[in-house]
Amino acid sequence: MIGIGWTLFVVTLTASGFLLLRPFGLALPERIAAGFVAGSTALPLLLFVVNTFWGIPVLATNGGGLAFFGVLLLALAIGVAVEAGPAWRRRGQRRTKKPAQRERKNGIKHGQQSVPARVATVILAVAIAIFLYQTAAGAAKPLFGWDEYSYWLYAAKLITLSDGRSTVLLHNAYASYPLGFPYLVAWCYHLIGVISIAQAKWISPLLTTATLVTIYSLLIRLRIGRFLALLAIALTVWGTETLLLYNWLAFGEMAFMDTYVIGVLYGAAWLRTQNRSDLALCGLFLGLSTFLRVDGAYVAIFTLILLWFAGIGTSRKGLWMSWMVALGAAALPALLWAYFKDHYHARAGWITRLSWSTISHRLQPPFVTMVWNSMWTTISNLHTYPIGVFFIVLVIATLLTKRRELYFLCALVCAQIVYLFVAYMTVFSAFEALHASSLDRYLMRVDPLIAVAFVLLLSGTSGGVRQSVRYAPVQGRRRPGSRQSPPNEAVSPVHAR
Amino acid sequence: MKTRPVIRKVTILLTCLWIVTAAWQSFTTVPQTIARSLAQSARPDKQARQVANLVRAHMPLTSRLTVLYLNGIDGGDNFYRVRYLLYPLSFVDYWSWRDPNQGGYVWNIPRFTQAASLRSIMLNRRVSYVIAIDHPAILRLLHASAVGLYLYRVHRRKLLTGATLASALSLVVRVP
Repeated sequence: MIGIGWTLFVVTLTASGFLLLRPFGLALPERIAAGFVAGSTALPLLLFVVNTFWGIPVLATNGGGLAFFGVLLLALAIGVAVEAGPAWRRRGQRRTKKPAQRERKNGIKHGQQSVPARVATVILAVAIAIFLYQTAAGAAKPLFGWDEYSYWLYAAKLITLSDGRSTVLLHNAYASYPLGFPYLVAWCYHLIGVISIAQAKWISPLLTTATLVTIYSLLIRLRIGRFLALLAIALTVWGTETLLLYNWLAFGEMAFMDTYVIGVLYGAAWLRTQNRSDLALCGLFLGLSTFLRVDGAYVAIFTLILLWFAGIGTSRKGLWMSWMVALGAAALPALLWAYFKDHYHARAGWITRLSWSTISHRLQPPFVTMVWNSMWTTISNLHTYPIGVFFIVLVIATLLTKRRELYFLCALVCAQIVYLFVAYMTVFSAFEALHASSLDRYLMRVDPLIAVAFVLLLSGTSGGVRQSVRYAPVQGRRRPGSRQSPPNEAVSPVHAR
Repeated sequence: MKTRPVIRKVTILLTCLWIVTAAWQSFTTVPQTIARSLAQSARPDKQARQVANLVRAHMPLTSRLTVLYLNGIDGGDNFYRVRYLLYPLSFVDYWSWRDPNQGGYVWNIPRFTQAASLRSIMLNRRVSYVIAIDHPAILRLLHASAVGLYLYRVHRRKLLTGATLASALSLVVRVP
């Protein structure tokens, strides 16, 4: 019974994300994996909106809840049936004509790697498999982080028991925390029919696996090559100890981290491909991430500002319009949540803790230096963050190579650290600030960015980028040779509509 | 700048070596982490479950009832587990923040260890039951002689007429 529930859980989330990503012309593996991550926030957002604005008890097992469930399943089934058939048929066609341009440039025949490269590929795959095994081994143990026990899953339980009422947590001390993750867990509880933290623990490994697959397929689409794409994944999972630990122990942050990282990497991909669907995807994922963390909106804002800076000077047609689409996608979930908070006066939390006296007290030397010292103690711990070594190499190389996407990713890593410093100086309690509490958890989100940037650096400058092709009917327009030339939006079948 | 092939190969080689080492090491570190955590939180729910079972047997579980749960320590693990296990009951938050903007959230101990303060909590929050465990200061206030787990019923009328805290509570059950 629980197995059926889990299957339904994965299928509904994937299907809703799969349909949500329809306009962006992604290839099938990338679309399914990214769809699972997107759906994991989009479906909870839908539940939240339906309950808040129409009052339907979305998680009830009778009446309106049952009707909602039926309509949702029917809509997803019809959508997927209409959409997936052609996508599945196209899958085989693309497989046959994969040019593997990088390999050809190096004088290696397509499809054949040298023996050391093949051995290294296998080794990397084994290392990634070990990570997944360790995550599963940890998830099977009855251990939970404090935040998960005291807030995230408590919230999920309340939402489940109240048939999905979005106002049930308004009297909680954390009323201003977005309900994305609690709704996701509540959806899981609803489908498997049990309220159990031990079951909910498995959501995070699923999300992380989907994220890793998304990053891998994105890198393949960027023509990085299989080996280097695997290297990026292996670097991500072994780049910091905390990633493993937080995947099975304290997993409340993982949904945010996964969604946000995908958003940023699509932004970096846009700098490389200049494909406007990548920019829109960046906006979409950053927007979804604002429904998963209390400060998600601030993080999304400075990320988009940095992306805008990095993209200055790329004069493409329709740039203004694509930025508007991306900003709209990013702003929608954040505005919905802001409206909800405003309506119910649930603004207690981050902004309300700001006061000039606090900040001016903290700006005095002993406090500032102690905060900075504890942050530096955490960041410079290469035992926990071996990825720090790669970051130093990366910064030096970025200054030499002067490539947009590397500048963007490096600047974003620095911006995250500066942002956390500002947060410790303002909204955190003094005790937490002096110890730089949870910094390891917040820094987790820069680890995949460093790994991917490092691999982008190794792979050299961007050559031709595979255009994301969504449908076959206009195949006549695509000449076989056009793949080598930089993508042109005007003739790209994705944007022809 | 174009990365030279030799530098590129050496970098990739070193990275792969390091990844293999990290993955290999995880076979010792992850089980150790799990074992350590399990040892530190040995049978974490035992006391919470004991409290929950006691309460379930002796009082109706409805959201209209408010419980004051005094375990003698800041509203942490144990408080939340009991609250979680007894979901429909309303619990009085077992902490209070003093000067939240002037340096940390401090648990206001006198709020839960002084008779006058407990009395005002019971009156204002309409507390109907009190659970107290194992803390001498609290048990002394409630005139409980021996250490153990106590469930009291609060008589609101007596409190309103000015009776002492101890006389306004009647013992429902005690587990030594």
